[in-house]
Amino acid sequence: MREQANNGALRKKGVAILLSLLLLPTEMVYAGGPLTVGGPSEGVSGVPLLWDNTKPIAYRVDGGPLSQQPNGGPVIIDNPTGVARVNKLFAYWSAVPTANLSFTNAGGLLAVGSFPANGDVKTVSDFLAVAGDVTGQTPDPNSCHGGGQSPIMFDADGSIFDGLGLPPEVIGFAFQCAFNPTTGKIISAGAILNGRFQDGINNPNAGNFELTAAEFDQAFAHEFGHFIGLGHSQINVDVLLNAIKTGIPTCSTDDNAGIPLMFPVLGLCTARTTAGLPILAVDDAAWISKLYPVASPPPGGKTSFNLAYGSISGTVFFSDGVTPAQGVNVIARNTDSPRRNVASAVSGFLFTGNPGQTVTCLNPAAPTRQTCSNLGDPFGSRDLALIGHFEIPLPPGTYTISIESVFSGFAGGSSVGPLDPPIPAPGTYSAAGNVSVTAGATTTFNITLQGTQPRFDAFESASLLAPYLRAIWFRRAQMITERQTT
Amino acid sequence: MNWLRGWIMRLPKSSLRRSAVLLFSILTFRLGRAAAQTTNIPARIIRSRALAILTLYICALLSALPLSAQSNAITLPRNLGELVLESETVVQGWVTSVTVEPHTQLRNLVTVVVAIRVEDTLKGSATNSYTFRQAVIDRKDLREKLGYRTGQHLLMILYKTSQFGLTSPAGMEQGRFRIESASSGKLMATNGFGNAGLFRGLDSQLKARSLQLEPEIQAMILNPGVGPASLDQLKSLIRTIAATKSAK
Repeated sequence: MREQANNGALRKKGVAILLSLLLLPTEMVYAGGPLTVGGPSEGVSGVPLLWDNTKPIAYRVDGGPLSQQPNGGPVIIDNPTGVARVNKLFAYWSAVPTANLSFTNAGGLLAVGSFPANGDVKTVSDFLAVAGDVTGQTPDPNSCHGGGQSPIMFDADGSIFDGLGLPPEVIGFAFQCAFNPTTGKIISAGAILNGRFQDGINNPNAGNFELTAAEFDQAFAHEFGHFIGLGHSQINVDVLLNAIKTGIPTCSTDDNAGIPLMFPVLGLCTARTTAGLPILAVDDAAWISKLYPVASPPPGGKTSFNLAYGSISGTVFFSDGVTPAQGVNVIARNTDSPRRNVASAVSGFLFTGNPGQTVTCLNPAAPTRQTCSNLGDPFGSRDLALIGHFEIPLPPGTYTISIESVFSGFAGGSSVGPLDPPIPAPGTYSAAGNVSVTAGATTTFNITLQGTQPRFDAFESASLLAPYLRAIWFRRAQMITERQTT
Repeated sequence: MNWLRGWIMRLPKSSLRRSAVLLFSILTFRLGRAAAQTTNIPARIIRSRALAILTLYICALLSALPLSAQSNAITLPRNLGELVLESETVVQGWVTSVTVEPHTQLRNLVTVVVAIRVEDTLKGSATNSYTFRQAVIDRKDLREKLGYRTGQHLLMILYKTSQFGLTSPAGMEQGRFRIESASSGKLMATNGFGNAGLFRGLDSQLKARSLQLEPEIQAMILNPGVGPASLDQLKSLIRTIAATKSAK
């Protein structure tokens, strides 16, 4: 009995620690900034995949309760309350004054197959009907993958997650469904929320965990950030590193304020709204504004992006000063409030994380997916000028620039930046001085890392630059010219 | 060279193909000097171009290695003990096939079916081979087959199978460990979160169950960090946890 009691106490303590660290893996991202960037054949190369913001983004919400206790137990969060919470979470994003973004709740779910209009998603089959055919081969036009609706679904008692074979610690997920391959505009996306985390029962032995409403909402505000096209950002990562080292996360109010909502790990600190902080950090507001900027003159209640933001833009180079470096997290901290007023970008965030190659294709001149083993990621630009390039949107002020590695654990679903898994920053950087940002202007600021390994043979580094990265091996005429001038 | 390239592409196994491509590249490099003599192009230029191509090959091949993308789910973190306790099966082995198949019962559901040649079963009754089926929700996961590739060396902590025959790694990314050799030759394991938080709170939980650990394993738990963990130590720890009454 005593051992059981001890176990129970320890388990509760363990759960408390666990719940203070919500990991939030999502899909591969090109952050800080956009979730997905167009590639050679998908969307517009080098341009983030975004919604068409000339009209409100329409989502539809499940007709059932958000949370219900297991085995047909009492409803804990009814449908109107659940819908109101979803509306509130989207409104966090549309409330950013410099972001030209609006949402509309288009009502209940559309009928799909045997699933009725305004229905309650109760079973795995219901979920799959509304989500649609992920292969896109035979999508029902009303489904999410068919581009017919953007559903927000409630798995009130977690039984859908169970049926899909997902472990009990999965809180939910968002997924992008359809986009226009020519324009790169997102057509539909979806999300499903696991109501078991809000059912008032905290019984980890039975696979039933509980989150506070603020923690749960913060998790889905983050997911809805992905829904609208935002990727992950890494700022104040030392809080995470210290938590790993000591086992106990500690963060000041400034630490908490500076950590973006789109940080891959949520809950390192007290939930933002519980701590009295706005749910969006400076980085979140800056990036959503850059992706969906309010033009001049602004509509009522909004502020022109160019009147409120400037930016720092440049390229991160290896020590040779010519070779661009991918995957380095660049952070701009306001000199007056460096932990709080801060934004970031990862170098090369518009460039693909996997360029593939065509040399081994059966016909390198006409590469196809069928005749090539690795054509790389269909997303992300192949424009060599974007390697190592970064842009950070910032409110006017004075900033110090620093660089760091993307945390090695941020891979796969929790990845930050174009490289997955991330690489250690190849060198160091000492800030040369402060950088001023003025509204409506871009300050160019290139970064040359110190102490990087040589990139090429010391005698011929220049000859390996961009123009030669294509099929130089066969460019005989040019080689002969080089030979003649050597 | 074209016929050689074509031959490489016809090789059946991707890993074999990659090896052949590398050999092809190295051969190209080594032949640089000879090529220089026959084409009257300076060997320095030939070699530097060959080196550039070789580097690109390697980059491309590395980038083609599996990403650790799992389903795009938000998950609570769990430590190793909790992952093992909630799991049904823990196996170490080599992935022998990865196929995308529609689910036979559930319309619209696509699954990734992964077959593993089992080297070691740490929990459950898997024998020489073990096959599991995981649901695919997202198009990116479908493209990447949830990050599984033939030839991967993995340690999988798998959650119980659902009524539809579906399962996932316990804790999603947290329950899938990639096994790689360290420079010393020692096998190391890393999960999808770089082992972050893998041993958090584990010491007190194990002490509460009066479980005795080897000193080196105790040290591994008490000095939590991020990065690869010794596969042998990890397996020993998993066996200890799996052997407890509540884990069965």
